[in-house]
Amino acid sequence: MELSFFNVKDGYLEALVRGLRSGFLSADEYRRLAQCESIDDMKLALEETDYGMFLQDEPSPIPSTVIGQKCREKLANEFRHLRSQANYPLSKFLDFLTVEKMIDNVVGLIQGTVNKKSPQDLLGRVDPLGWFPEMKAIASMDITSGYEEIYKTLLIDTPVGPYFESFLKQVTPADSESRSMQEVASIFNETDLELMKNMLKKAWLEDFNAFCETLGGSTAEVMGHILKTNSDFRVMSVTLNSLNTMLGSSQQLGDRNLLYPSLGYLYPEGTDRIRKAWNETTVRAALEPYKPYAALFDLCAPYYSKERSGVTDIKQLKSLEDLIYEKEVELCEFAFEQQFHYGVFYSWVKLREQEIRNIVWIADMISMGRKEHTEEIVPIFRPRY
Amino acid sequence: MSAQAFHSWGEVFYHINPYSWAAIGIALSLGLSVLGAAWGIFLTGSSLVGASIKAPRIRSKNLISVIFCEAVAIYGVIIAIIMVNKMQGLSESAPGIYPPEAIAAGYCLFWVGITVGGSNLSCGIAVGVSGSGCALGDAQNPTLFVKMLIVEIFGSALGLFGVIVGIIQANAGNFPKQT
Amino acid sequence: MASSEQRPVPSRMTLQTMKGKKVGASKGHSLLKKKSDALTVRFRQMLKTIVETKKAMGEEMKTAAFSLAKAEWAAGNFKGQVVESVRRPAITLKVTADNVAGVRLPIFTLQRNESLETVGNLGVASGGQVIMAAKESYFKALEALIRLASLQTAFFTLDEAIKITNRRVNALESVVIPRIEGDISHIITELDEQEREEFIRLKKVQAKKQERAAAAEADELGEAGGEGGAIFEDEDDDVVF
Repeated sequence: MELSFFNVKDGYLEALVRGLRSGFLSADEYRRLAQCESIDDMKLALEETDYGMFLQDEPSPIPSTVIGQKCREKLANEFRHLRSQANYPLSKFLDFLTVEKMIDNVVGLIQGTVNKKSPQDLLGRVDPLGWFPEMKAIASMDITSGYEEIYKTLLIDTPVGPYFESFLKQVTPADSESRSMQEVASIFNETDLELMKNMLKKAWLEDFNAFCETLGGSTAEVMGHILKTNSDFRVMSVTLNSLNTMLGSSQQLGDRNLLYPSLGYLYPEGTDRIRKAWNETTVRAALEPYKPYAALFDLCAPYYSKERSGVTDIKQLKSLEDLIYEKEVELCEFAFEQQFHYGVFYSWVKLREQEIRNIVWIADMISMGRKEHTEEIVPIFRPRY
Repeated sequence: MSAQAFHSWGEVFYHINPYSWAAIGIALSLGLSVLGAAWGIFLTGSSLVGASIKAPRIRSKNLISVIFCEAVAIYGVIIAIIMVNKMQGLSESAPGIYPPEAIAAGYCLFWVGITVGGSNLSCGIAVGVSGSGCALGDAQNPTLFVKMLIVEIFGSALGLFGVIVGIIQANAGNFPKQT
Repeated sequence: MASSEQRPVPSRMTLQTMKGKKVGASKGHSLLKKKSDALTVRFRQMLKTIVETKKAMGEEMKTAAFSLAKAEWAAGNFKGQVVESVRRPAITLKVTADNVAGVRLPIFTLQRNESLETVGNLGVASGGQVIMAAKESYFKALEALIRLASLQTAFFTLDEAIKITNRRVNALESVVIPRIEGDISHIITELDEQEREEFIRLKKVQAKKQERAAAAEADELGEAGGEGGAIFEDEDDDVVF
């Protein structure tokens, strides 16, 4: 039935997204970019691709961050075009994609506002994909009047409100039924905002997965696989990144464990085992039954071991992120192999983000004069034979 | 027809005018075929429109998919015309009493309608889905077009089977000539 | 020369003071010369280390920039978050001074307060360790940078000091000492002149006296020489010694 009814609402948009898929930079175009001598050359090379004239109005020495921001704006524009034409289930699905960025933005804004940075600066840095009108209110909020305002604004006005609520429920003791404003204020002070962000994202991931499951059909199938793998990556990433840091120490394991999403192929047994792990060997042992992840861990373990400091050249080693990006690109590419599901929208956004990362990386390498590293990108839709 | 009491479903069916059966058959064959064609065009069309935004070159080539769907409607129309031509003569020996040939012909045309309509409806959807895939595939890689077209042709053949079988089926039922 | 207009009074006493001055000046000259030499030696050394540190810093900066790019690749754009979370600086500079031949050279030392570092749990879900690596390599680059800054400031101070010392040395060498020497020789010639004048005068006086004595003798021979002693009494106030 999906076959015959999907196109009723979403056929046009799916086709459009697949059309946008052909806009990804090809291997040739990457090669051309990598051969550029300067950023200006790169701008010219990009003009010949699907990116077009988007850098035209920038004054000549373009920093790589501006390129990244402009690319993201382009992505956001295209995304908004899709969003404006979407019907109910798809529109909600697309909103879920923006919520992830909104969480980033909101947390960044709170952090900046608490530290009294100017609103213009803050708004200039946000991810255009996660832009929403209430952001201005947060940025220009008067912190001195207390956290009550922030709390109200966050919980009521923003799309991320529900996640904040679940976050608050988790961090406050269960027995206190009504949370006073005082407590909320103390939460904002005490909780590391980075931890808060990750807990919000975890809540988002779980919510997104639940939503995809209600959609059913191949959307649930494809998205379920992607999200589960993603949440597994998240578990691994949190674990590895907190190794040898304060968060990895035994007294903060509780904090760390709060960040593990309750879905994925690792959940519940694997997550449970990882929860108890505190160093490389124990993590390795916890991952042992999950062959692909254990292999992934082995590949990047040297980067995270304690002995790394000082001895070896870190440039040679791959971090977990490099590997995860590769896997993620692969996952997202596979999503395009099926028709009539929403996974392509997710995959398109994710691949586009990866492509932007690639472009920024190449730009960085070119401006640093280290052309030998321009190859270290994750090409998207690399020709497979 | 005066008010009568029917004692069983068989009696009810028996008393329905065979021409009415035939007419329902025509309606089904044409209606379902057109529904299938429209559905297919819709499936193909929405994908085609979306895909041709980024790859405008596919738009005229992929009209073939739309034409395949259209053909399904034409099958329905052909069968409907054949069936209409069979509905000739009106012979009623007594009110509510029809000659057996007429009754047989009525049922026959009704089921021809079901055969053709059903097969064309599925054919339309099949061609539509594969046409949508064809449009998307062509937009990415032009060499896929011919391959996808073959798939579509096979899909389209399904409708043709229905039509052929329908014609043979319709030959079995003939209303008695008007005397 | 300006000094030619106001030559010192030629007298034995000024000669004495002048000689004292000359000794002082040449002593100062040799001391300053030594200082300048010491400074120059230090300067040369510093130049070498500066070149080395500059090269090293270039390397460090490159690695640091590379690792930042790497971190951005892994964790997305986290610059904003870092910038927004900064409250107090975690790294501060301490300035101490080093003394080289009387020149105070500033030395910067880096002080790191780990507890104030804000990066903390940044990127815990993606790229945390990469960010840490970037932080460390930037720390190294910062160390190199501060070393270079310290050297560079010392370099400039030293440069200035050397210039001043050299100027002084040169001034002593080519202005003050020649002038004093000129004065001394002037005084000596003046004094000699005076002496010669005096001598001639004495000679003259003596000659005159002898003349007169001869004349008186002749008179005395003529008039039994009665007035010889009176001449001596009259002439006496002209004689200085």
